[in-house]
Amino acid sequence: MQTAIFIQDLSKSYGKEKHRATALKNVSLEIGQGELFGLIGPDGAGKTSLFRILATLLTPSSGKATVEGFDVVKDYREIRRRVGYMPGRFSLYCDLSVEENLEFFATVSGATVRENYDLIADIYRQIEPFKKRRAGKLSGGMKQKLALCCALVRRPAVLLLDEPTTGVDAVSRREFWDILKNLKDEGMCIFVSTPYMDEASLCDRIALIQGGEVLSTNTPANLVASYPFTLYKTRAENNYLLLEQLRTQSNVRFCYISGESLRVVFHEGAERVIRYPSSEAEEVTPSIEDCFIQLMKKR
Amino acid sequence: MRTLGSFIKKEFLHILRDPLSLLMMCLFPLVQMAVLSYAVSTEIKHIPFVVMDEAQSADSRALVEKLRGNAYFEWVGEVKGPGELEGAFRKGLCAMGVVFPPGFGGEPLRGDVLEVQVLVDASDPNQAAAMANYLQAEVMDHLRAGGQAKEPGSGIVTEVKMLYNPQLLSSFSIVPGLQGMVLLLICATMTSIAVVREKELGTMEVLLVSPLRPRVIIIAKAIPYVLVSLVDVALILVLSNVAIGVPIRGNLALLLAFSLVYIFTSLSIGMLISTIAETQQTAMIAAGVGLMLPAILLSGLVFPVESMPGALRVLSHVVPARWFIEALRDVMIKGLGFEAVWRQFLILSGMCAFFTVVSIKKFKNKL
Amino acid sequence: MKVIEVHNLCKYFGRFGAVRNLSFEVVKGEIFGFLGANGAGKTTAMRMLCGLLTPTSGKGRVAGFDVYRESEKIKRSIGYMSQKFSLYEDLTTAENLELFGGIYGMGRKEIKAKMAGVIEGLELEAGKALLVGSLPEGVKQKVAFAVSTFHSPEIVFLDEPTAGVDPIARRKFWEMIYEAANRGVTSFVTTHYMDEAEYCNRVSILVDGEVRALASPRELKQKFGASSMQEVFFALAQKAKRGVS
Repeated sequence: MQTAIFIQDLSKSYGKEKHRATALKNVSLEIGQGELFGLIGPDGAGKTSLFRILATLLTPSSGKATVEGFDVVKDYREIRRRVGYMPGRFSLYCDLSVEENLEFFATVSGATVRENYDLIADIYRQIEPFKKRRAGKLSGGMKQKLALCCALVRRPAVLLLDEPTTGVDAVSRREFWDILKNLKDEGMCIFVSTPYMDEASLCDRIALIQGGEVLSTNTPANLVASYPFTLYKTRAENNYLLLEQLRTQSNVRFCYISGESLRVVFHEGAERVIRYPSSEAEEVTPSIEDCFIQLMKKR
Repeated sequence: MRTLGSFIKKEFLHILRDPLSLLMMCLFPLVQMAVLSYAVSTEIKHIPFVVMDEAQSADSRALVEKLRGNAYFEWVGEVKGPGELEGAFRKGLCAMGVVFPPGFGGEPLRGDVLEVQVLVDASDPNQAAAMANYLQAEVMDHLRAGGQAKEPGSGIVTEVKMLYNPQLLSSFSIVPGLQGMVLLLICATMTSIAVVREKELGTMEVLLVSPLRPRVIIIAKAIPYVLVSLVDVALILVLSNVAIGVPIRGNLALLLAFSLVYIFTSLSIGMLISTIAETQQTAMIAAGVGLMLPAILLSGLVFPVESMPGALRVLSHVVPARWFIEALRDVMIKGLGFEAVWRQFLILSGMCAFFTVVSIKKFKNKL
Repeated sequence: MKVIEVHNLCKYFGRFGAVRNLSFEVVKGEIFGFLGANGAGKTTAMRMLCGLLTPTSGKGRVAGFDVYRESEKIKRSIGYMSQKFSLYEDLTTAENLELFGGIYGMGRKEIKAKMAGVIEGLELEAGKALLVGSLPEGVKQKVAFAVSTFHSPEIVFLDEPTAGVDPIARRKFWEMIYEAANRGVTSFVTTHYMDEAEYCNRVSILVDGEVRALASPRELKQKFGASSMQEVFFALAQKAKRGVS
């Protein structure tokens, strides 16, 4: 697999001396062509900074990054020609219609809608009934599809999508991931960020990011397999009381709430019992979120 | 009451923690004042002048000699005829022209009046006034020495003609205008931005679901700005009095009453803007273009209302600043009492009531 | 004890039925999830319950007060935390607490007495003099919850409370809600994030202004044969006519 995005020891900090804020700390990633790669982390983890550097909108403080072999600092013109970038906030013209937005973004990148229509056809067909509507009047899901079309219409080699599914409802989110899968199958490198842990399993590989540092880079399956403990789940009528009980039990290494049940990890060799009426421990496969918590604790 | 208190405290904290806006509110009047006092410096030195002597009498020559020897004036030369006189002004050779009419210096007949005409470049009105006054004093002084101005009602009168600025807009009358501007800026612009900022931050939602009544929100938002405005009013009055020497002839209580009515009018307009505007930029532009521009252009601050084209003059009636500035000039500079400005007071009060009611109504609708 | 009772509540804007025939009950200490896609009518429904909007028809009582006639009393009995955390970032944690205590009519002594406990609970003793704007996101969110429950409301309305925060902060936050629930505080959570829904005792799913499902997440998953609330929602929302494209 050929490398599409290469990032080595990349750091970025803002401000001066006293008010220095570090957004990225020694980030290294390698993403191949035809790969759907997810950058997963909460708000403020540094996702947007990384995307802006790759899109050549920000210069890194130190380290190196290349896209399609071009340096993000020196060859920014080359990169801008080859990259489709969809920023976190939908950067559409709300006062232009769907059609007009698409035409405009095609024109600025020196392409025409007609010559690249095959690439966006599947997506555009879904919003075509509203093509005369102002972009500002579209629903979140439609805006997101239009923004994707605008990023795609130049036929980029690499697609950078910064939190495309934030604030979009569950149904639209699923449709959006289906679209990404199709694009990937056509050989495009897609680098996408998201705060939703449940979207991780839809990526080929993921990097978990927190506080500007990459906690782990792996395939979703390998990440789950590398979870160091045997994880149990349990529940009760009142989970809060159960949680308080578990925290007093000496055989419990740690426990936390997870949805409508609790996650429990016992000490090695300790008895795996829960002393609470009608609650039992049941072994469970860790989720990406469980892995994330574990990696955060390790720091 | 406690609710209101804690809310007001918070508003003050906002103002104190945003040094930039605090600075702006205090500095704006100061800077304006500084610029003004510089611009209206009344000191005159080396004023170039020409003489058109149609009398060619001993008296006129003596007077010219006297002026030539004076450090305040600088002799440029003599001109022949009004054409040359005008040319001298046009070319910028002189800032003052003294015209002695034929017959000047002869013994005037009883009941007859001889005029000395003084033309002054009044593009700087204050300097012009100072020049004219000074020259007038010189002439009178000379005549007195010659024993010609003994009898009142007869003798020589200097007739002063202000060129370029017949209204003689002076720093004195600019101070009320400045009051009008500063109050508008703080009350309307700052409050509308303060409300809209809460909308942008999302904190307005939280206030709306709390048991706070809309009028409490409005009052709490307004009070800090009323206080800041009053501080600015005092600042401008004291500074203009001390630094530029603008007299405060009228009743101070009446002056404050006008300021308060105007402050409340501006505040309610600001609130009205904030109920319509969704972003701070919109609020700023609405306040800037919708309020400040009319306040500058239509209030009589720069262009006298009397000389505006008909349509604009009609439009100027709805600009609160017009009535405020007009009244303040009468009260502050001319020292007139309430009987002279009751009309302006009624109009401003009416506007105040109207905008307050509308803004509270509008604000409620938004909940 | 029922703290929210809604029967056939409707809100029409002109001919558009934003919310139609809303009926449900929420009991004291319950964590009730109110789910729906964008435009499904969540915000309208919540505004009616908070006393911000008068319903067109139907019956509704919140904290024992009528939604038509006693909206002022309702406002006193509820707390509200919006998705933007809605704190004053240029005020400190203590000042934010004082402000909202004051707004809800708490006395100076009462505020002082409660403050120490809340600050301790937030583990913010060291940072209470810091401006809220300088706190990390996860902490801000906890402060926002503390502020919205400072006047001891019976019900607290939470709008997408944990969107975008890191998993550990998210857990700490839900622990706070669970702890509050244990003290009898009812939480009404509106969200379109299905993983937030999993933390609720019961959830209702709103589609096109109507409630299409109402049960515990466990029951709903069983009923729809789904492994997550995401799938349950997907099954229901796919048939939606509005809000989803």
